[in-house]
Amino acid sequence: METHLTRRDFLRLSSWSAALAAMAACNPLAPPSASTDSPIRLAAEAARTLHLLRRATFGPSAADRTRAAELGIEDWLEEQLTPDGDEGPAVAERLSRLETLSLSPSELAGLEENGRVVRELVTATVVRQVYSPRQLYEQMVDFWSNHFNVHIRSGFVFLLKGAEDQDVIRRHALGRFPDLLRASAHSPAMMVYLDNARSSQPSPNENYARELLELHTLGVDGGYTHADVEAVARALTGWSVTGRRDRRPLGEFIFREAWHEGGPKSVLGHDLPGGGKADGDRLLEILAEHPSTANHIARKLCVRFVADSPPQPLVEAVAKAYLDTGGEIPAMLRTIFLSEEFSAAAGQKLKRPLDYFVSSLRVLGVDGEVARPIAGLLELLGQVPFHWPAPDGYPDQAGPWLNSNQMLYRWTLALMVASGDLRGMETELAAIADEFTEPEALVDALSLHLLGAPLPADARQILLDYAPAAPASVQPQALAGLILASPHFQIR
Amino acid sequence: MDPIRLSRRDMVRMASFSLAPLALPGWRPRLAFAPPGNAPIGDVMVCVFLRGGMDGLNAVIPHAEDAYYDARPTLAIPAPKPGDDSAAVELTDRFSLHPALRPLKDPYDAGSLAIIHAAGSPDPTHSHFDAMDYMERGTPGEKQIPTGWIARHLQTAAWENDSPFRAVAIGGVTPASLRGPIPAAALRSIADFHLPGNPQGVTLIQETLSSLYAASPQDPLFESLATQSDTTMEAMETLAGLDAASYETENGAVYPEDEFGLALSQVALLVKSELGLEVACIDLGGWDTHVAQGADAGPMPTLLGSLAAGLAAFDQDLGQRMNGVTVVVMSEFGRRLQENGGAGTDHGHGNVMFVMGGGIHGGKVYGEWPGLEAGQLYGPGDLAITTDFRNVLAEVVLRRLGNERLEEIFPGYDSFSFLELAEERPV
Repeated sequence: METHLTRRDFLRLSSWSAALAAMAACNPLAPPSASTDSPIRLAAEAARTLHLLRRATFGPSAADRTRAAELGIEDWLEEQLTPDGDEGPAVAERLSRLETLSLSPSELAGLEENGRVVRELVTATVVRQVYSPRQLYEQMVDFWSNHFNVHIRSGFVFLLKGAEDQDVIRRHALGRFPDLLRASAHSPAMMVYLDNARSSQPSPNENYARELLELHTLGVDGGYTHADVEAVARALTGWSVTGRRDRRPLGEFIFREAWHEGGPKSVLGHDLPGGGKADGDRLLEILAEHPSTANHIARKLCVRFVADSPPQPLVEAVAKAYLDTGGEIPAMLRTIFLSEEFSAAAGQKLKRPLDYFVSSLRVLGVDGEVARPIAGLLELLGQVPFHWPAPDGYPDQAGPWLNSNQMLYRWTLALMVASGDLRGMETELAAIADEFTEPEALVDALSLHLLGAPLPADARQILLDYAPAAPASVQPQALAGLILASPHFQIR
Repeated sequence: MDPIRLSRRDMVRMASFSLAPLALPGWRPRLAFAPPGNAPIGDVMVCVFLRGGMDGLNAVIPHAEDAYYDARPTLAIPAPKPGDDSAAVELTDRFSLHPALRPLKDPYDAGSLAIIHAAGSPDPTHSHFDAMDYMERGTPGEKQIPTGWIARHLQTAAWENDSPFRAVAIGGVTPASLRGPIPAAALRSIADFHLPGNPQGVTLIQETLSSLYAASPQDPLFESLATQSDTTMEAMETLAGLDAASYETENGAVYPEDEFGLALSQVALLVKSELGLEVACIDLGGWDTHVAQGADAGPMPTLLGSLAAGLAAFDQDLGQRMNGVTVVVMSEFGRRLQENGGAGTDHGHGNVMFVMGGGIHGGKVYGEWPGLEAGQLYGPGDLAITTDFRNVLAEVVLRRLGNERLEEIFPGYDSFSFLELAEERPV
């Protein structure tokens, strides 16, 4: 992180976390005190805040915890739901070195060496996840990038994905779903990836049409038929992308009238205008207004932020928020994060590989260059942004990720990143190690710093038993690595 | 020494896989994973899943059908013609292989490769994700059963096997077929399956991690993590004795230099090392060819080439050991008969399956052919299904894997009858 943890921050942090420790110590059967600043109430507030931070961020850094403690849950959430345009100096400085980010598709196509294009977009994405103070926004960018997944290694999609990231996903990540959907349907990257760019009458291509219904809007059980898929495909014939033969800049949306299939079409019981681009425009409105879409989006958001099998009443409440507000994304998120069901779901989600990777860097406060072997581990963990080949996006539930490959590379990452001796990479561990030298104090300080909460007593004792065996010069790093590799850092 | 330092060489190895020839260990592990008298009795099964919906009509070509040539003006493969390498490779008077699948002609002729055409899942879905899910759970149309069909096979098998490599997925994601109470290992690379650092430091770290996971709170997620931790530790311990980095193939087999070839060579090493492997799953993706899929050259022929070269090399490498190995190849659905305006094909229904092994009655195309004329097609113009994919798998499970608990492995499936494509495995 740009801001090193100061002694003052750390003291604040530990007093905040002390409230949590108090909760662990207090008798659960004792009646809660009515006093607003009782230890129990403070501890409960601290636990709620930590839970929210673990879900709404890519892993709470020291700065996030301080900010949330200052503002309280509701105000912190509002700040995250309505972020200003400033990504902060830590992001800006790093992005300024990525030259291909600001280039148009035609400029990218003209590059001598275009391997950089994908590398720099992935780097920018991870940099923002690690360093941006707009954490919930970055979470939503990641969510929508998977919901509207586009595989960057598919044909010349890599020239178009950067523009989509900016103009579709980032523009609407905390806006209205109907706008996001419309932008995605006009996105050249999506048109190329799901082949609509080449769909023309008389034999349209069904690829985008089907995934538009199944994945982007209604959901597979959302009540459509094969005839609907065919009608959608016909309505979207001609929605395409400019190529070298068009007298327009490369890689822009174009409606090709000659490819479009005119004539009457009926989708989900609605008649479309009867030809032209208006058919597709009207189709997108019908889909965005459909209750199945509200339900599908609500469920996916609940899976992302609450539980792998989210409670049905919460899904319904979120779907209602969608329908009541015309698809306002912040309204749905507010419903989720302020719900009873959310509070009751602490610790029930396994971190996805990307969550694990980014949260490791965030809690360690990694500064300087992220060493290349560390970056390589994201590939071995299996979740490099924009690299899931199928249109459904990376899995968001534990099943596919709970396996030995994952454990091996999570442990490897934990031990490597905590060691902090990779060239050019710094962490906040040195500051903590200077402050706390006795093993007990060191283990406690590391737990609070990395997990935001004390370790359970048995886990703490296991680390204390290990501590004397670690070479003194790297004892704090080894202990930090073990905490990051422990089961307590695998969940969020 | 720093227990958590990683050498530059280690890092480079970790970040990129090499296809350097791997060598068998000079020693034979004699690890007892099963109690005496109750060891696994069946073949090792290798499941290859072709993700995206393979175009079976352009893999095993029904060259006697005019309807095939009428519906595919740019994609059709010419009927077999002696001396013409771009024509289909004749198997029978009705079917032939895509020229890119030519390497499979050898095992077919040798009688170890069986082909089942017009096979698949009876559920009408054209969704990749539902279709894959149904196939991997082994329960078409049914989403309530949370486990995979292979997981249920392992769970109901009459024998015991504590090997961490009882079931292995090659890659980073556990496929739905393996999800269930028996933990499956997932690995990308045998050579790299270890923690970084000096041996002493690593041992200490591993012991501490084991204790941390064993002490985890009573909670379903923590308990799953503890199970995975155990599997991972055992896998590291077992693989520590294998010199995977210098594995050498046998019988002159050369694996293709791609991910599929690497995956198969890792499975071959696991088979030869006798580590208690019963099932290995490998994914090969990229078959969703809606646009410009290519007739004799292009994306789909390239994938077919990779599939055929990999399977042929595996067959050759394992040699006599193929008598105890069965490979099954499947995909979630086939593709529409009529090609679309972009010289590609949309999602279809019936497809082709392959089964290969020493215990397979190969050299034959199984299944009743439903035909491709208008009245014979399914739904929006797809190849119909005459053989349920469960019929093929069930025969393999009964005859080659030695598990009779079909009603639990494929619940609700009651129309099984032997295709006679697998030989009863001698006990």
